[in-house]
Amino acid sequence: MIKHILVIRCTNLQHLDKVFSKLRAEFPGAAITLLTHRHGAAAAADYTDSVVVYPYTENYGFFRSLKSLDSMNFDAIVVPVGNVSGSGFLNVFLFTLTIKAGARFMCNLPLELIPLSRLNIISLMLRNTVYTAASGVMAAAAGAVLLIGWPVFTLLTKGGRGRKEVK
Amino acid sequence: MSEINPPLVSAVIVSYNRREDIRETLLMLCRQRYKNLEIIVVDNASADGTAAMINALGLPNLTLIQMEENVGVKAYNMGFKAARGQFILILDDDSFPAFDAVDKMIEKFDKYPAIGIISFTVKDYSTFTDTPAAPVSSAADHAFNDDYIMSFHGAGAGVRREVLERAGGYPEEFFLYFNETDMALRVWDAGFRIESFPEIVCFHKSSQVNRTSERGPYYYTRNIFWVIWKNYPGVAMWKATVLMLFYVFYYSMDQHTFLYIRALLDAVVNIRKIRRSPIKMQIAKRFRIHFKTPFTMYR
Repeated sequence: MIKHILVIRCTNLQHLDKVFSKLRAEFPGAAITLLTHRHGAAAAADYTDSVVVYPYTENYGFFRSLKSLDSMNFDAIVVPVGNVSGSGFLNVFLFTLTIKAGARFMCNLPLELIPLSRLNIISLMLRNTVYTAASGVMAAAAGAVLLIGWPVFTLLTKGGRGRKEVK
Repeated sequence: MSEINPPLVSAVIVSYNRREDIRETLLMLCRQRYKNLEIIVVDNASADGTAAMINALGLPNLTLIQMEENVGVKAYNMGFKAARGQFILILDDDSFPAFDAVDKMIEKFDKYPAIGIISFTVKDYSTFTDTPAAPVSSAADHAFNDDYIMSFHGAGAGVRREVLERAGGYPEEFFLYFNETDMALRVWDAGFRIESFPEIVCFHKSSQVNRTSERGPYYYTRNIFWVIWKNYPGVAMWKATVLMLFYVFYYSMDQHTFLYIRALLDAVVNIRKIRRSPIKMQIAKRFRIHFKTPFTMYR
């Protein structure tokens, strides 16, 4: 029985509107706590009385856990994701591992609630390690090419259209 | 707000093949409690009869500008030029403000002269309720957040005319997407603030018409590179570029696609379309760009 849900806001308010409708239909009567960055705190009050502000300006991360959530126990954590697969939200999935919860779900664009086990998240992290190493090498190489070519780019960008004045 | 001479507000909307959506947007604007409002629609050569429908509505305060081809966000700049208002209301063709939103927007612009742009709280269309607007309340003082600063939402934003004159309009070379962020950086750099208030709301349909799955992430990726190369000063530019390169390669592997690499190549090959004009370092440092955005909207 799911009675207390933590929603971690990481998509826009339009998606959050739909996610909250889905959760209220799926788990009637469940209390919902919303975790959001500071810039979303005022708007968050429109969704629930229980709002927790993430004190960091950076994205959610495993090493940026939140002490104020230590004493709370959730039946479920829901991570809204702005696509179908959840690609790009691994940092949030890892962050959920720092919070005590009975179950973890992502809620994707078509509003499917997809369970995320600890094993799922850890295997995603292992794949992430391989991709990170390969991408790091490729980004360094591409960055070096751009750096070498930058004087040429600088000359080219002086002739561009640039900012558009409206008078 | 001056009750005797309320300032003229110009709603600027760009339309493209969403006849029914923009019809609703225009009818909703007519129900706006704030009455000193002109509407400027720039139609990007819609092929679905949008222009004929707008003409048939016969709204007295509406100006229709018809483009000969789809010119993307350049159409907004055309609308800004035609606008006569002291304030501009930027809308999408599938978004509209809550009935009391413009009233509240003017109230905030009056109260906070440093604010150049008010980013509306953009709610999903499904949450719209057709009830009379509540009276404007005088809210408590707004708490400005100077730790980090942000862009605005192009589906609903109020802009002082002075901002457009000093910081310029949208970057036309972007065609679509992330144009708000480029403009926002110049707005902050020009000394204005961009703020959001939860009570100033607009509703957005996110119409599925004209939204292909690849177009958004493609233009977002290319245009983020252009935003960085145009606006970011020295070291910040290189740090952001390397981070974006990393994401391009990472998410190409993660999502099994060449979409992001094609967008990167487009950014490099067409770099001559942009002109570098770095903003102040303290603005770049505090400005919050979510560089992962294009990679979280595909697949």
